[in-house]
Amino acid sequence: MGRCFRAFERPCTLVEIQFQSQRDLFGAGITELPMHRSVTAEEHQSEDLRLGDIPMQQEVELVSLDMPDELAEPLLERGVLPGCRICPVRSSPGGDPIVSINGSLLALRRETAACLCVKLLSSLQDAG
Amino acid sequence: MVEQDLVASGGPATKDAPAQTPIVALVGPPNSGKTTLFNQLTGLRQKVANYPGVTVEKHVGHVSLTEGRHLSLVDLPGVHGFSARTLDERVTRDVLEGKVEGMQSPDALILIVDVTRLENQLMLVEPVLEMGLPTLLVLNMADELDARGGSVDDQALAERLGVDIVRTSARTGAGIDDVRAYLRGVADGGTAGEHVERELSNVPASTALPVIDAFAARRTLVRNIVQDADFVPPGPSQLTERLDSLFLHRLWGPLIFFGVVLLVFQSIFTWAVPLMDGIDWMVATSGDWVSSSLPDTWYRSLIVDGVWAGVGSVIIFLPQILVLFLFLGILEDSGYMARAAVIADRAMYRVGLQGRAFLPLLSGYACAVPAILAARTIDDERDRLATIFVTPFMTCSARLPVYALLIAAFIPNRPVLGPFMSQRAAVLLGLYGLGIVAAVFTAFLLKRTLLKAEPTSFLMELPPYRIPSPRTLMLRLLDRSKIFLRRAGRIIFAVAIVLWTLTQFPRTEAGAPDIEQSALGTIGHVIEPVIEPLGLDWRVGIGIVTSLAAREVIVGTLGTIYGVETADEEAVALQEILRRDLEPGAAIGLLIFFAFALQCMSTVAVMRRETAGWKWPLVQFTYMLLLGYVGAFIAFRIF
Repeated sequence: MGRCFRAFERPCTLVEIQFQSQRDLFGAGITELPMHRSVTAEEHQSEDLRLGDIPMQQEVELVSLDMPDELAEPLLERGVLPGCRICPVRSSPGGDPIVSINGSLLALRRETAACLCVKLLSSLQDAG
Repeated sequence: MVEQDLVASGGPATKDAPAQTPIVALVGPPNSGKTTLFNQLTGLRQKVANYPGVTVEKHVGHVSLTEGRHLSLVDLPGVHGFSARTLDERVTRDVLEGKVEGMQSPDALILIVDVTRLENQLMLVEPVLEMGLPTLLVLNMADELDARGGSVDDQALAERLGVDIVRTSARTGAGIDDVRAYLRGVADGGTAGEHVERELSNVPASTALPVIDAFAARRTLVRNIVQDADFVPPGPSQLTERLDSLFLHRLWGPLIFFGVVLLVFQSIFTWAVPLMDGIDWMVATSGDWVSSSLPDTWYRSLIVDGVWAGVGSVIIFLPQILVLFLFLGILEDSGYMARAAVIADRAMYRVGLQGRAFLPLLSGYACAVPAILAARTIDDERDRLATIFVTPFMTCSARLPVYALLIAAFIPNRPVLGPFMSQRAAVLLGLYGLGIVAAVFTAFLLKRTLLKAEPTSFLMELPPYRIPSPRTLMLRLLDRSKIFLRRAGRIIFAVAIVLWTLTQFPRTEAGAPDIEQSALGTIGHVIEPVIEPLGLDWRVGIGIVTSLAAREVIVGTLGTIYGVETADEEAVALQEILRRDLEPGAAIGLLIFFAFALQCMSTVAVMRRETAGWKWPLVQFTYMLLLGYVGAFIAFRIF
């Protein structure tokens, strides 16, 4: 287990590894899905953007989970995976984010939100 | 192929032995309406037990179908996947694979999902279908999907997944007949036990993949499936949005939260009281009746003083537990409990616990036994241990009779805050506060010593708000009371008999000895030197020993020892004798001792089961005893 979450030492750079392995898995048929696009250097500009920095109601795309395996697993099980779209919808009275993902509401701690590397959706992707 | 699989998996033998009742397992993610469907199919004909060796509850129900056909339905715990990270996931997997001792593997599955969140919920579909069992996919809450403008092509979904599909609304009962029709087919042996080969994707078995790849692969698969079935996600639920903007409001949210907590308290301590008085009266009256209808022999004393009084002291708490669980059930099924956990999480996190600990800690005010069981929903093992370790500090209702007796005897009824609060009420409130302080301190300590860990994550899915089904609530209450009576009853029963026996020996010419000369009295004298620094004598010593069974037992024991006829906590006589016999400092010390010490064998027994060993209950018992002893000692010196 756990070759993926070495991000603790080197935040947000594991995306490339994942995309590599995904291509191996799925072959050519489904590369049009957002998560299978190759990541170019330009798209890494906002490498340090975290879910915690995103204003309410702005939908973003998850890039990677910057946390150890055992913490990431419950998130993965609930569909919080690189490539998915997350939208913070409100904040709890204690200031923790509540996000909408795949039609479900999920409450996170802000510490967790700070470990989720995200990127803004370009207007082009927004249309599609 | 089919035959080979049957043999290889040691699987269902329905075809060889048609006499055996077919088993169907019910699987689904949490909050999918699984339990409601289970109750609708089985009604009262269900049994609760534990899976061998683990603390996960096993619900098995009996489903009667037309023409005398019937089968067993197993309600598995709600899971998101089979990563075996939690006990629930491990058990679910083991049941599906037929690896649970003494249980045949299921002949078919019902996979239930909340269709309004189809994409999310289908994450479970691939690992379940991989099991290769005939499966019915139940799309629950279909009425809500339609109402909110969503849609899905059932036919396409069924073909894509290779399963049968039924739409239901578990709340209104629509579609239940279709589920029954499917079960009928299973009972007839049509598809039962057949291994189904499904070509979901060209993805290799997920277990062989590194963790993130497995999940990514599954998600892509689910996305494709959902797209193929023309799934249109429903619009956001207006009701849920509106209620959330109130319940999770920066100001109103916490206020409503405290209001709900107060309401639960109020219900435990005022609404349940008439019921408890009623039960108390029934136990006393029936005890008198049994007493008068039996000859005056040794076994009359055993039955009336030992068994009747002992078991009666447990049954009396049933109303409180029922009222508590009725409230908790409503809060949980309506979706509010998840929000309450989110609100509580920040404060809980600061002391080393998490939001999910809120429910067990609140339950702890009625009784620690169901509260410790309720902590099973905490998925982080360290958080769960810390929670059940501090739960007995919550002022459970068994402490109330002890507090009531000692406060009435030693605290004058003077006002402290004008007419609003008497000194007695203030002391009672102080004892509640003491429990909370001890719990917070202990949790803090644990998370820095024995349960030291990296900060954990807290994730809470917020289900849409729904109106709870009365039927499900009632069945759950029935369930809880059965479990409570069985678990606590057994221990109290045994202890009552042991205690009674100790008062009967050594025999004298007149029969039973004086209590001071009895084996129990001897135990009291042995203990005396230990509790002397607390200003207590052998009589209270016996009370402390007997109240190991359950805290409130000390009231009855002291009554017996002092030879008071009616050993009720209201009894003025006992209060006067205590006032004469105990110094005020010793009495306050005794109150503090009972606030801290783990004087409850039922809790110890449940702790042993829940932690699968003696280590935790022993650490907990010793720690709480020491805290109680030191607290009582200090109080005795000060006052």
